[in-house]
Amino acid sequence: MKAAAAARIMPALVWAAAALALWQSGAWLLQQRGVALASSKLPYPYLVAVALFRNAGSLLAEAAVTLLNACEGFLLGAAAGVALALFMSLSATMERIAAPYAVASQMVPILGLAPIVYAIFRDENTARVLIAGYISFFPVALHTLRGLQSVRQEDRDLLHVLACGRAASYRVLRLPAALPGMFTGLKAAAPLAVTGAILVELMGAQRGIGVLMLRHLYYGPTHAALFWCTVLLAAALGIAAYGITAALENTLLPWSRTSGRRQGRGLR
Amino acid sequence: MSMPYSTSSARSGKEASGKVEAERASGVSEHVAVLVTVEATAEGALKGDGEAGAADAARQYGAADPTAEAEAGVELGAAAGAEVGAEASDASAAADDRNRTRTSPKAAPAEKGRFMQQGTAAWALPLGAGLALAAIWQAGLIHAVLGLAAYQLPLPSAIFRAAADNAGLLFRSAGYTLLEAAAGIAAGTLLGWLAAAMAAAMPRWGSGALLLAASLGAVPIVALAPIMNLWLGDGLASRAAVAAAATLAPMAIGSYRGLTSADSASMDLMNVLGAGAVPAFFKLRLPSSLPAMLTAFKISTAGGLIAAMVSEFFYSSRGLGYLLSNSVKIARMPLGWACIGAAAAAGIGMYMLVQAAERRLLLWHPEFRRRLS
Repeated sequence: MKAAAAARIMPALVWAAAALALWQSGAWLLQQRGVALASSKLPYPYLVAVALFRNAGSLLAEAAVTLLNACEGFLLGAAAGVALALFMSLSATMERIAAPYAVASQMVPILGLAPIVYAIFRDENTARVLIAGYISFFPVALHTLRGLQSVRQEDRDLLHVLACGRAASYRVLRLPAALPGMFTGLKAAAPLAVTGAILVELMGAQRGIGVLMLRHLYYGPTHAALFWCTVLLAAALGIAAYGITAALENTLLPWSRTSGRRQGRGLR
Repeated sequence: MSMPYSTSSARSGKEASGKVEAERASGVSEHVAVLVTVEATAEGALKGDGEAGAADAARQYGAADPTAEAEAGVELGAAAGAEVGAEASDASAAADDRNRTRTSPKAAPAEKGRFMQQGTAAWALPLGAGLALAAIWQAGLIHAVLGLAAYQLPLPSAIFRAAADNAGLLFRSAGYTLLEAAAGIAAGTLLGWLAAAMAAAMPRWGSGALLLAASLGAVPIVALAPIMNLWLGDGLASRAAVAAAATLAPMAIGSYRGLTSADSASMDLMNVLGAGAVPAFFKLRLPSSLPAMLTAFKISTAGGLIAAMVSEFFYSSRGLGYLLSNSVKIARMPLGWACIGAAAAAGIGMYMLVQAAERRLLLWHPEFRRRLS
């Protein structure tokens, strides 16, 4: 069991080491060739690590604020996405009406919408939650609808012969069939929700990792290492969001083909 | 659906013009007129075809008056009812003979009617819902409910005026942004697919590459924009790179899911038949990966366009994103909303392109056919 886990983690570690080596040599190359703004373009990884360690407290506190807001928005958006998918699967008319608008709504650039949402609610937390929800809504709706429609005709026929009503057929057949697709959507949406929350923070919130990112970007080359810290931390938040969702899927849907545990492989 | 039907019947009609004369008098023209009318009104493109066809037929059989031909043609094309003028019967009879060489005229009208209904419902319903919302918005109900002023949320009429006044600017900006997005999406799709193929071929090492790709997608666009700007300058390439990074992760995950979704019985069959890994990949895994891959592509086109726009907010002097952020900054909210509308139109256009491609590529796929039925 332990050996299997080690075998799973090993390749990821090797890849990470390779990326780190690439980063180090890239930074070294930039410094050697005397490229302008080399320390901003790619600071040495150890400098970033030192900055991360020194400011761990404040960085993590801001990251927690961001993650919490993203989480609220994510749950809201996911619930709305699943609801829309259900509506669209229940009625073809609804699907026809909603499908173009679901796509169109996703095309509205969130950052442009942020000041409007902010003006309407006059509260940065509400704005963050709403934008994070809005951005995670579309992937969940699309994937859940696919899952709901992926039911085999034979199974539908069987339930029809057994005189199952619509509610029963959803409970017994369609909703379970939709769960793997739903989790695919959730896994795609989780990092997006973090992105959405950070976007709003860049618009002028008081707290959050995005605020720090903007501040260190404006301070210029002296704060380059700290800026890279915030970028890495933002990426880590996104990955953590994905990881939590994937772990949830593995726990809740052990039978699902998409959960990696069964085939003993890493990321799925 | 209907275009090949018409063109092929026109061809066969010319070939069969000798036999036609005798049958023309036999009074079959009535239900045929219905058929031609229904066919001609089914779609806009078809309408032109119907006109041309009727005029063509009339010319072939030497009708006396050229203007009457044209009128007959227009009437055939435009009239929703089955009323066809006396001077048109010649033309419609000719059309009948041409149609009859291909299919039974009795079955055809019903089928055409069904298609027409579906076609109309497909655009009429969303359009109607949208118009209703716009009317509510224009009437000020949204403002009343949310307590907003007109400068916060402009009325649709103001947005339309701004869009009409700046149509050229909007088109140029949208074209530029679409170029950035398309370049980025192409690069990101290719890289994402390669990562997925690698992960599928070599699960042990490839999954690490997939993790790397996924983490690139988790980096917020707004953090990537300044970095790419530092690396690649403030040209088209830096925005394309951001769009590529945003596209890469969903493509990698979706393609990987598709590539590993081939059912195990089929894989066993490939093994039994002694097919190597390469034929199994191209004949089984790749085709069965298409549905999941195209779904991922749908998401990533939207993501790529948004990424291109959002990175324009920060370092750019061209494009839709720049125009939008600038309009909001100088309090020209109607133009900002017009930008949002243009972005939505561009995004929907891209989505429809992908959907058309999906239809072409997936018609063989059982799951897709079930979705259609």
